[in-house]
Formats: sequence, C-alpha cells, structure tokens
Amino acid sequence: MTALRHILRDPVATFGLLLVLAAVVVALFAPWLAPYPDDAFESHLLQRLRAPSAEFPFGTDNLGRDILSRVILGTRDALTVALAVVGAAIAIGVPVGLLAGWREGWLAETLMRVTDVFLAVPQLILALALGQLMAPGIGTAMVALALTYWPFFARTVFAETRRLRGALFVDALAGIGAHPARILLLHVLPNAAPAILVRATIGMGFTILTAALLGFLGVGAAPPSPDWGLMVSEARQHLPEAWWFPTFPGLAILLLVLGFNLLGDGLRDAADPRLRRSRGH
Amino acid sequence: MPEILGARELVVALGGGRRGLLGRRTAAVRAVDGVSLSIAEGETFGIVGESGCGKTTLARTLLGLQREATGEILLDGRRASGRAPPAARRDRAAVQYVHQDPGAALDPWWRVGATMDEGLRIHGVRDAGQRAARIAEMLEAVGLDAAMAVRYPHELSGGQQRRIGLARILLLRPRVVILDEPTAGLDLSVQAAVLRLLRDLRGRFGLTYVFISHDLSVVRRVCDRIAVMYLGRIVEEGSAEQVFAAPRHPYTRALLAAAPHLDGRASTAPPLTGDPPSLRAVPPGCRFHPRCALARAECAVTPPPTDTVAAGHAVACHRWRETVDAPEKVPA
Repeated sequence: MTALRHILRDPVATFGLLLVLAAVVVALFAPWLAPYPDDAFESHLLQRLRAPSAEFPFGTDNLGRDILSRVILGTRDALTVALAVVGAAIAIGVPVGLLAGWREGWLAETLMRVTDVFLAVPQLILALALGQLMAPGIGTAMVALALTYWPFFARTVFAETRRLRGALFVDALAGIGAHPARILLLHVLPNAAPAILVRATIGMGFTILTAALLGFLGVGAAPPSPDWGLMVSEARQHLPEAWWFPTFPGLAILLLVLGFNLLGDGLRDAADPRLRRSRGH
Repeated sequence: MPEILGARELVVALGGGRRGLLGRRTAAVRAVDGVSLSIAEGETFGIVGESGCGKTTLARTLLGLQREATGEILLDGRRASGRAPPAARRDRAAVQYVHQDPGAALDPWWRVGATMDEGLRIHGVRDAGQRAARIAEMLEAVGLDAAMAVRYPHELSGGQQRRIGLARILLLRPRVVILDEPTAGLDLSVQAAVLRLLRDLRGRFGLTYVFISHDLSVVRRVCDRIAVMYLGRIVEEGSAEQVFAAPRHPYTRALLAAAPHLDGRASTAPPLTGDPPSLRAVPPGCRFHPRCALARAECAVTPPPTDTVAAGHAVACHRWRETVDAPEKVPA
C-alpha cells in the first residue's frame, strides 16, 4: 500500500500505471469493446485499405479488417504472452537465485555460471533458431523468450539473497533454530519481492517489445491472429499510402511498453531501501 | 549454586581454508584462544572488553552457531560440544541469544506478533491457542501492551524493540540467556528501565544471564561475576566487587580508568594507549604487553599463568602483585 501511495505521488509513474491498467481493462473486455469482434479472422476484401473514418476510426487493413478492432483484440495476446514469459522466467530464475545465493560452494558456482551462459545467448537468434527447429509460432517464441529472460531474475534474486543472508534477522532466525527452507521461503523471498516485482514489470515491457519484433520477423504469431508486430509487418507492402495500417498497432506497442517501463521505474524508486526507511519514522 | 554452563580451554578459529577452487589457503584467526568459564545457575555473568576482543565470537560459540576448534562446552555438567552448528544448536537449545540490535533482528516485513509466534512454532508448539496465550503472557511480562503484537518493527521505539527482542527469546523458555550489549544505544532512562526489567525477568523465570558489554557502569550494576577479555583470552575474572574494588590486571585497571567518572577526578592508573593489536598478529608473551605501562622484558616472552588472587578472583599477569599497592578508587 505504501508503494502504491509512493507511485501515485510520482506523476510519471502514475501515467505508466494508468497505461498498464487501461491495457488490462482493454484485454479483459476486448470482445465487447471491439466494434467488429469478428474481424480478428474474417476478411472483407471490398473495404480493403480504407483511411480512418467514423466507421473505421483506425482505418482498415489489406484484407478489409477493422484495425481498431484488431488492435483491441491484440492487447489480450500481447499481455498473455508477456505474463506467461515473465511467469516462466520467474519460475526458473527465482529458485536458482535463492539456492545459489544461500549456499556457497560448487553448487552455487555451477548455477551462476550456467546463468551467465544463458545471459550470453542472443535472444533473437535463439528465437529464430528455435523457430527453424520447431514450428514457427507464438509458442516457440515464448519458449525462446523465457529461456533467455530467466537469468535476469536469477541474478537479481542471487544478489538479494546474498545481501539478506548476512542480515541480523536471518542470523536471529538461525539462532532460534529455524530451518533454512523456512528462512528462505518465508523471510528471504518476501524481502526480495520488491526487487523481483520491479524486474518483472520492466520484463513485461521488454517481452512485449521482443514478441512484437519476433512477429514482425515472422517467427512469432502467425496470420491471421491479431498480433501487433505481425500487423506492422503486413503493412510494409502498403506504405506509404496506407500510413494508418502500421501506425496504430505501432502506437499500441509503444504505449504499452512505455507504460510498463515507467511503472517499473516508479516501483524501483518506491522499493529503494533508502526511501523505504522514511516510511516509519 | 551448581554450574549451568561451562567452557574448558575453548578455542575458536575463524576463517582459514581455501577460497575458490585454486585459491590459496588463508590462515585462520583464533578469535577465542583458550577460554575457560564456569557460569553458575541463577547468576549474571558479565563479559567485558573492547570491541574485537572475541566477546561476540565466544557468545556465538557457546550458543552453537560457531563451531569450536578445540575445547569443551558443558551444559548442566554434561559435555554438549563437538558437533557441527545445526546439531550443536539443538544440543544447547537451553541457551538463547538476544542480539545487540533487536530491531534489526526482527524481519521488517513481519508483524512482531507473527515473529514471536514463529519462534514457538519452530519449537514445536502446535496448538495455536496455546501459542497466543503464551505470547500474551510474555508481552505482559516484558511490560508491553498485547496490542503491540500487530505492529511492525519500524513502528516501535528502541526500548520497545528491545522488550520484543527479549520476549521473543524468553518465549522459548531458555535457562541461559546471552545478552549482547543489551543497553547499547539507549538513553539513560530507558536503559535503567531495561535493566530493571532484566532483573525482574531473571527472578520470575529463573534465568541465568551472560551479559556482554563494554559499558562498565552497567556491568557493575547488574553482574555478580565478571570476566575481562583481551584478544581472545580472559585476563581477569572475579566477583563484581573484587574486580571493581581491587582490579589486578593492568588492562582492567586501564579500562576502569577510561570509564568516565561523574565527579571528574583524575585517575591514578595509566591510560590505555593505541588500539588493540590485530588478531592476525598476536603479540608473543603476554598479549597486552605492547600497551602495558608495567611491562618488562619477561612479559614479551612468556605468556603469563593464571594466578589466584583470592577465592574466586583470578588474574593472568606476571606483575599483578605490584598493582596491589595502588588500588584504583572507583566511585560507589
């Protein structure tokens, strides 16, 4: 709650929060908000590439589909992909970071060196390679993104665990005989949660951007699904006449990524221990 | 009174071993080097000395968080040492430790009631009602309102944090409580209240205290017996009256002289000069000789034996007999 109050005091972070909340609302109610919900998959060749008008505020695409509806319908996919990727990265990275941070020795060394190896893998190239090996599609892209994003969580949690391991309250818990699993899960993890949350928020924006890029390169979402990156890609052949075709999906990507990044920065400020200390006294 | 907790020739080595796969072996440091103690049931035993003299390492070893290199620890006359930390801690569960900074010893994200509850849970109290009743009773015993249990650590004052820190440990029904600088950082009125509380609790729960401090005025008020530590060794041990009225070791005398006197009179003992030497370079012979005004050639060669001055009063100094004539006057 204090973190929320801190963010609301920061106008830039509040703007980010509003963008993210708006995207969540749009994603949840997409089928009811979109003026032509069937346009996700149906084409109307007679009304192709119409400029923005009262009937089609964002214009129509090369198959005559309403771009506004497709941008709205695409929000749900963009957020689902980002949530799934960040969730998978947390599920791998957090346990690795906790384990490596808690104990010293060969296990910690091995875990962190493996983390470093994964950090060195270029995200796009892995995604393209996986797309060649498996069927290109949004599932493959998500696997590639999760495989390259978990090391960031492992590093963050590793650093937090190393810091907290020396904290007096952890020492006191060991002193009264608490089991290490209890200390790690009930005490170290909650204290590391702000750092994980900040990393996750920024990771959401990053994943949306990369997923759109993969869609653009043709190894992400496949037509005819309403993917923002894919829409920008399809618009290339119709430029510069149909300027509205890539502009609106592109704006959606820009605003959502911006929202997550601003919110992440605000959260980082709110979670800063030097600022947090002032809440009590 | 019978001995409840004892140490025989305890040596604790810190550090040492290899760093990394190809790292060089680093030399271990003997933070506690041949300490023997005998703490009687029901007494308050003070351990004093400058910071870095090994007080806290000694405490952590008695507790079982740090493994001794050699020597024995006795609990109720039975050997309770020789095992690695988690097991050693279980062997000596009757000994508990209250941290120097009890505020930092509480998880900032947990309400203090939940922290206390957790301690009981770890110690196998299954029944939630019983845990709640014991917590309420203990909060009352340390003079806090039961409503405090829903507060977070940062919402408590320094004195309240200390009371919570004590309550949390006493809930586990220890017999020996190691208090590490229990009055550090408190203003005088709060300090007096905490000391009074400690005395009340000792009577009420039949506790034995090991009181670690560098504040001599506090030690004098609460301790029955005192051991003075210097660089990992006990240099003087005796009852509080003996040590304060007739200190024999030059280090004890210098410490007493360095304590501020309210009447502002000058001290007769030579003041302490310089910092204590590093544990990595322990002086040969008597460890105190480089800073000692009475040091002679012999002191730099032979470690002094521990001599008995009077019943229960022991000192490790070659020249303690010469300090008899100039007893340090300490204000009552």
